[in-house]
Amino acid sequence: MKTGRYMIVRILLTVLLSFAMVGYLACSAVTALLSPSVCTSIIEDEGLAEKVYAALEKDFKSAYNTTAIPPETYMDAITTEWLEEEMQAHAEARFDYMNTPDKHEITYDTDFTALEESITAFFYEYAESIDYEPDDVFEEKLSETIENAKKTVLKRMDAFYLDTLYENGMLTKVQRYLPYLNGLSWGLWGLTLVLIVTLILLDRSGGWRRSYWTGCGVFCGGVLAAAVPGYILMTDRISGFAIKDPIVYAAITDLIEYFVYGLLVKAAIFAAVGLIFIAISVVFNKKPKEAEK
Amino acid sequence: MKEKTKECKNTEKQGASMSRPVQLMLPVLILMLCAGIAILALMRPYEKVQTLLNIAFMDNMKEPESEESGLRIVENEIDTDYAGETSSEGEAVIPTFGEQYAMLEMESVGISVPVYWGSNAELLELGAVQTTASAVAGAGGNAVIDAHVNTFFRDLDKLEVGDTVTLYTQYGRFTYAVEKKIEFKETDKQYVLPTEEEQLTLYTCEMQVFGSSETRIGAVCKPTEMVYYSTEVTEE
Repeated sequence: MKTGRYMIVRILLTVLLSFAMVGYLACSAVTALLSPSVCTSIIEDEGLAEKVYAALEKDFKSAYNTTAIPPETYMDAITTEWLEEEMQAHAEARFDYMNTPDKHEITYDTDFTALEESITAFFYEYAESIDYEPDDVFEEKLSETIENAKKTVLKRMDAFYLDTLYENGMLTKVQRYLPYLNGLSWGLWGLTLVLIVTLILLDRSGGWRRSYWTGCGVFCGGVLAAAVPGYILMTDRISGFAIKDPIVYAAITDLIEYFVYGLLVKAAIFAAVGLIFIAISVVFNKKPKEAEK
Repeated sequence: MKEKTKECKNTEKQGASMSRPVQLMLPVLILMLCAGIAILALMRPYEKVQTLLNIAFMDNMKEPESEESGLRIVENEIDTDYAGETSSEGEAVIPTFGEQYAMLEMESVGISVPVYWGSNAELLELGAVQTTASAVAGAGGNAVIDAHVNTFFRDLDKLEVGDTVTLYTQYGRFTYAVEKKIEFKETDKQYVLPTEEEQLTLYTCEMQVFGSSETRIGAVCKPTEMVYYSTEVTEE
């Protein structure tokens, strides 16, 4: 009777340990995703700056049909190195906002000096070539063109849709809940350790055999946490991402892949550790002679 | 008392030292129990986000078909000298997005341009485009076609009232005459709205050097001859 009760308690604690581990793994994967280094390395590894450059060239070529401003006016002031630097700084500023609880606004502004100078020079040269005396209309069109160019560049640079998320208040929500997420992550890690210690102490079989229930919990937690990312990768769901714009597609799918692979690797490690614990305890398991008698 | 404690410890040890098959089966059973609890707990939340996930990761768009986007451009060779059987009544065929479905000819101003079904920047680089919100030629309604002023519709403003405009499609040849020339603001939708009678609306941007043009210029054309092919003559 007592053995049965002990068994039920151990099973319940093992189940609890599994879910505490799943929660901890999920929280830590989300927390890792909120580090700016993930986005900046994707920008670099995926060559997003080159993709943005090509897209901008196409945008300004297409705009030439309605504005008659040669695309070179813009593209001569833009380089892939500048784009990469600004894209990384742009992303870092947004992540900095999310990770700083008392920050009220994003404080980084992209440096468009070269672009502004190039557009201004074109407008004055063009006006001179047709003997047009710059007036209010000229100034208005010039500032409108500069603003439109800035908007186009910023829209293309924002591969992770961070500005859209900021405008819709999502980044502010993340900023508000991030400390709780970190707290939850630590709490679940603490609970995991407490449960492991409790399971070890409850097992009086001694030696390595004590690792059996801990092994069961860690193994189950690892397998459960690996199930969803494993399913996502096996069914290739990520490549079905609906936004087919090459820049956004590369950025977002890479970000999801980072999250999924990160979770899968951590979960697989835990599952393997659990399996090792179980294997050790099974190998060292010998029935006490007295009990056998 | 001591004996009772000893007995108790033995009972615990017995419990701890399960047989190997039980030891090996137990983690699998616990895993199944955990999976069952997880499925039950996540069923409702998953139902809520399922639609969003299906939209975000649409299966039918898994492979980007064009190198630059998900757009699938189909170039068709359209016969402008069809000599087969024809009739004055027939059925219009609605093409797929990105498919070249017609050749537009305006001899008086020297315009001959392929027309693609659907409107976006990529298609506008290839020719004229017809918005999918408008009617296909010959289906009875307003067929709205536009193109860039710097490329294919450079001379559209030279079109005069009475000029002939011909639209060769995969299923027929439709001849129109320019009824009136039009000029409207980008935000003004009066000429691109559906109509009950068959008509062809052509437009492009007004050339503007300092900044984007908000004015559109073009022509509204009325049908003079509608010929439907008895057999489809296009080759891909």
